[in-house]
Amino acid sequence: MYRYDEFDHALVRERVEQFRGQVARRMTGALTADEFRPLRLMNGLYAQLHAYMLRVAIPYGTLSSRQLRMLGHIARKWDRGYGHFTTRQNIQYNWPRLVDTPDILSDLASVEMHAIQTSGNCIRNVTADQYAGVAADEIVDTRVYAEIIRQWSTFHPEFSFLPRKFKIAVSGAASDDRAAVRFHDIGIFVRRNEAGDIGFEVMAGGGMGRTPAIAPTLHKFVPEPDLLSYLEAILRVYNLLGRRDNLFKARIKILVMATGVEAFTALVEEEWQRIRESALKLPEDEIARIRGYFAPPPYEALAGVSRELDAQLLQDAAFSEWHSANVTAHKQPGYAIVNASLKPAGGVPGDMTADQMDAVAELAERYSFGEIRVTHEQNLVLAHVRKSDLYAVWRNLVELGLATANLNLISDIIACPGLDYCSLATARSIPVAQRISLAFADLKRQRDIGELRLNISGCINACGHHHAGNIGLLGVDKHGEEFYQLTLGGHDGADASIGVIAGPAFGSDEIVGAIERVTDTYLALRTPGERFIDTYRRVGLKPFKERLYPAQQAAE
Amino acid sequence: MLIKQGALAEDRWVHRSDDEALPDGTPAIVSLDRWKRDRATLVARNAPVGVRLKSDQQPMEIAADLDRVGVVALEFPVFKDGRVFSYARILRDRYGYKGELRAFGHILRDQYLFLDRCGVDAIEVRGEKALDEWQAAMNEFSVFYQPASDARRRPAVALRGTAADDVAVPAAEVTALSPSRPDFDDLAPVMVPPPADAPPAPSAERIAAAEARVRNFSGTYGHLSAQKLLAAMIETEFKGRIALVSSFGSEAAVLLHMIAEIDRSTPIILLDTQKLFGETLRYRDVLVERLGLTGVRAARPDAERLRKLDPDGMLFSRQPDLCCQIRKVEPLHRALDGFDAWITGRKRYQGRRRAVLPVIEASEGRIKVNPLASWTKELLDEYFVEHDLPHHPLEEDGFLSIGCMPCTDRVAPGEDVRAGRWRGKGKTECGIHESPAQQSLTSSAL
Repeated sequence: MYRYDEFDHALVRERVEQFRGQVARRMTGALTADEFRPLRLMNGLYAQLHAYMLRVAIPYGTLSSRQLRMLGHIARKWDRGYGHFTTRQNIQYNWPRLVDTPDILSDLASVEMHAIQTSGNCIRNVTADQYAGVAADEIVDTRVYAEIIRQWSTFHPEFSFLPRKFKIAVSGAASDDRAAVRFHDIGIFVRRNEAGDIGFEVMAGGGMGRTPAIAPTLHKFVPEPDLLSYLEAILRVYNLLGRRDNLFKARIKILVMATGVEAFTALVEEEWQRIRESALKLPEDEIARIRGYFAPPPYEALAGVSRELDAQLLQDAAFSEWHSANVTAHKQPGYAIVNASLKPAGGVPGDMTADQMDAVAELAERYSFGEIRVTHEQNLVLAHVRKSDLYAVWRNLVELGLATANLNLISDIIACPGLDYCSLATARSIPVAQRISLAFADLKRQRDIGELRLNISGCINACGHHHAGNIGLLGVDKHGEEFYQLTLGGHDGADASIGVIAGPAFGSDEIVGAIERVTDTYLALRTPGERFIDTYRRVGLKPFKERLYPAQQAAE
Repeated sequence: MLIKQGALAEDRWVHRSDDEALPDGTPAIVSLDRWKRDRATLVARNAPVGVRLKSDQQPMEIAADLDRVGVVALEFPVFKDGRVFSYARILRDRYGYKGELRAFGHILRDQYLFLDRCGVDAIEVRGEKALDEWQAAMNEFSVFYQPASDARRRPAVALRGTAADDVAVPAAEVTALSPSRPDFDDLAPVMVPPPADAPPAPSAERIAAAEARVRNFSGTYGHLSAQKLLAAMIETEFKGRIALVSSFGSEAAVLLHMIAEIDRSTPIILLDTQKLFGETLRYRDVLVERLGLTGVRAARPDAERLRKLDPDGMLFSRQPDLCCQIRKVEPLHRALDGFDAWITGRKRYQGRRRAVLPVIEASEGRIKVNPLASWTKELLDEYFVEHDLPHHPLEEDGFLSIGCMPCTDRVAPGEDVRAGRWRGKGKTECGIHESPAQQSLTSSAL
């Protein structure tokens, strides 16, 4: 894991003191609400429906046990005993008091954490593949580059007042994309060329929101030392030309679309060539220094197969079910990747209590080298568990309510906080997610349906990634009543696609039934081995539409 | 007012609108439109001319004329319009513009450092009052991750830079005290001399006198109950010359209650290390109110020592002993100046070196009274119930012994009550209860 040196510590400490001063100036009225807003936002502090909300950065989703304990401590001391993990691998606290936030930030700083640039029109917390460094299918460990980008983008003097927020994601898997890279303002795939050199496929102009877009590739292979100059060129072009007159057209995706991919790429290329040979060039020893932080933990030399595990799998059916759903292959023989589900039936997706945080921190210490990952699907990962320890870990997770065997199944729902908390929302997300997960609570039924991502957003801003869900729900307000628009066919893997609206929105009490009609249609049509998304892509929207809107179809 | 490099500067320039005449012999700033329109006459003028750009006028438009203008002024129509930052960098880096680059309009002080880093060297600010605010904004950060257009700051290692001419922390000290990879097992003890204003060490006579007194006291008072012992010490033996040192931790309410019954004005010292839990400070307030204590005072670490030895507040992670030394031991010694005796809340049941704790002892020329030495956890619990005392808010979270926030951990059932203190650091005491000879053993030997 990355560890702060005195340089990083000084920076975060100075930030806390700066924010303390800003809060003090706000309290005395020296700053107007309008002037204070961007300052608090750049420290992750939002004004929500009922209270302030503090969003804390978890850079590329990696936490130490000590950090997770501190997150629990903050939940207990300053909030209401829980936190909410977000689709950007961050955590949100929903009830802090403004006057307390400098102290919260100070507590965070003591464990190398902060809320810097988790909001505001700046470069946000960089996200990455949650299996970086451990996945069996990985080409290059992305955390090295995610950390380099984190440092470069932190308090970037030129790019802190951009036209709009800016999100960067990095993935390094050969064929999969676990970071929804193509839905970001800048997406980066770390690649190796035939000569074995590291480079980056760089995409720009992806996004969700009211204009969903899949980022086109600007450059197939930016050489490793040129990463930052290429990023800086994109950001400069965007800062100069991005629209500032219309909030809804200010993201880079609109600029890329309006300019045209080719013309935009040419502008970036031109600027890149000007600044390529500059202080931004990454020296080899600096990359090596950062890489040193992400050296593998001291694994034991183990056999690939654990007899103990095989016996336990035979003896305990529930364990075996969890194992096949929530455990993923690790590149180190004898080890496995464990996913702890934050999606119990009827629960709030992504919420975790302070006690659960403490307990998971303890589990990580005992079984996973003290490291925890947060996923953009709002689950947690213990990345290095010995196969022979899986049973013990599972028993612990069961006790904590974190062992629902539903990874990538229909109840593994991504959901935004919605109208229960958010001042932008038009409808609630959480109660709908709860009702869906209860309706599909039978795990056997979920397994039978197989891999299916269901995502819910409470408004058009799409924080719940509904465009990228195989089934997406968008909450809308119709004359004061909550309705849910259903989209089908979205996907956020390497072959990303945007969901298509199925038809008129459903009322809150109709939505669960509508989803069941979708899954029934799929089950009737699928051929062996087909996932929902495969069947959908083969048969198209029509058969689903027929089942969802029979009356309308008959009329036509 | 014009601020240049953090200081108030005389502004030789005047702004003129497009239809105003330019004052003879005075440097003037005109709009880009006027520059384009009247370029020939402006160049031939008897005083320098500057050009101001609106936020939608890119610096490319003036690029060819940069050697003819004395100032480029960039306008912020609203502070959120961040194009100015890129304009400045383009002027400096792409076109090599060396003249004055100033920003004006709606600028926040919090943008000043960013502007400076992008190459803006002057800003026009309305109103004089806030000059110190702007100067402070310039110094809020001493370290930078990325190269930019500010020549005064050079990246030290690759991406990173430190303010080259204004290093907040003497670099040599930081290197000496903070290995970049903290590792408690390998940590070599670092010798740090005491502060210049430390109270002088007690004389040999004073030490001997205190020890003789302890032998005498132990016979006279050693058998007394805690309350009676306290009354004898506070009211008779050391009237006005004894203080309680309280952590306001999980068991502190017992002694505080006993003392309040005897004399509510007894001096009570809290070692406020500035790393305490917020809960502890609030608990202190609750107890002060509830028990009517009037002698509570906080002993705080010396600001100068903190600045020198713990500039980033992370000393606890690198040198926990040194951190306790400057945040607890030294402030206590200063606070005890003028007292002949002090009272502590230590108990034998807390284990380790406390298992053999005497009720009265001598320490560096003073008498130390430990009225609860023989008390068990059960007795303490009973006292809380009997006197309806409020509990420390962290206790129900599993904190049984509460010190500074960074170095206090929860205690699992069955563990030693102080097991959560400096967990994993091979350390069990902070040093305030040790003589200098014992202290040398605390760092890594134990």
